[in-house]
Amino acid sequence: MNLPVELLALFQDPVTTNFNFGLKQGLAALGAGLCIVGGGLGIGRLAASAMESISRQPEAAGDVRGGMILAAALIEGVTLLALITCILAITL
Amino acid sequence: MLHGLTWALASALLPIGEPGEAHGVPAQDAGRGDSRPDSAGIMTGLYEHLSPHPYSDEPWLVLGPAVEPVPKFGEVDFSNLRFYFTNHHVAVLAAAALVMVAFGWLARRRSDDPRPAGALQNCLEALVLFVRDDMVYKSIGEHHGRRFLPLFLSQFFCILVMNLFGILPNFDFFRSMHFPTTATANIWVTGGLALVTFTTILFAGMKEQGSGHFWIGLAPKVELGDGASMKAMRVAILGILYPIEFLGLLIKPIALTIRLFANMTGGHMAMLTVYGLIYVFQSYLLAPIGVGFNVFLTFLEILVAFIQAYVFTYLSILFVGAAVHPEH
Repeated sequence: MNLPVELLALFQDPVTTNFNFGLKQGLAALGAGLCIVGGGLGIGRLAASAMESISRQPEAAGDVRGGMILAAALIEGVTLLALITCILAITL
Repeated sequence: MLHGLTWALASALLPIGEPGEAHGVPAQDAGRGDSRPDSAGIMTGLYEHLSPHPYSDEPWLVLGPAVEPVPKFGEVDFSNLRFYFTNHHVAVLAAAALVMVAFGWLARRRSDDPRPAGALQNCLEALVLFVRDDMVYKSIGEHHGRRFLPLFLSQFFCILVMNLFGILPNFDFFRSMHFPTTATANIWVTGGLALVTFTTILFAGMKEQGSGHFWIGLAPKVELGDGASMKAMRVAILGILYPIEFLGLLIKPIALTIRLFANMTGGHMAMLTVYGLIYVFQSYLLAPIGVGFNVFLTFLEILVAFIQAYVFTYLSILFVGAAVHPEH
């Protein structure tokens, strides 16, 4: 309904107007989804092997849990690093 | 029942307004010429809660030209630095003061009477013992651990208090105080914490191993043999391995910084986004769902606060331990 008005916004001055849509922002959003794929796969495998280890040897549950939390935080660190890049691509 | 449904539907269609209207900030026109809510403006305005807010218009320190040039769009300029006193400074100082007061009290209580008594003393002692026994002494051992124990305890509790501070709502004591805030959602604050770890790695490692041997020992020993081609291969392998190890030494504190910063900022950004969706959709029906999801995110934030403090401190322990007595 407002298509001509929206198209006109593409030709405005990007410094002063609210220009938050474009190929760069769309690809950055796609990249954010890819970050989740990598992080989710990694942490999922980690959780699966941690569950298996605890079920095999319940006495080591404390050590396994500590190592799981540490590894999960490391993987999440890299995932969030990539996510920050996507956010920078959208806002800068 | 029909009356209730009608009321629900009618109130679902009433406009909610802008997030600032509750405390006197008037709504701004998006410049589009229609009455749709300015979603990007609402979100950007809400994300202001994460950035530091200076308490004065004049910086207390200026490193650069006297008149700040107009910044271009998307440009980060490090050649002119203006230092302000912001709400993040107050949050860091408040967290440090709280930690000093709490553990000074605990130490005084323990020196008066070593038997544990009272809930608060038990709670603080349990946390201190967890950091000391299960984190420091398990990784470094008791001899070296005693030297670095104050550093790691301070890091753990300061980061924990700063993270938990950010979950409290902004009950501003005066307008535009923007307090309490998440100090760790500022990359320079977490960068400062990681700089402390980096300095400890360098100084403790150089003191323990000797200045030259610390830098040489970054790369592992490569033993191949005596022939000329073996020596050449050793040079080639070390030529690839040493820069990687050196970059790793630099990247570890950077990763510490970004991990803590991104976890805190991401959690708060998610909460602010869900809150802002209520204003974007202008729907009273969405409000309970949004608030409920925000409650869940708040509990997740508390968990993430503890986990991030634990991970930062544990990785600092591992890095300093690797510098102080390397395995190879």
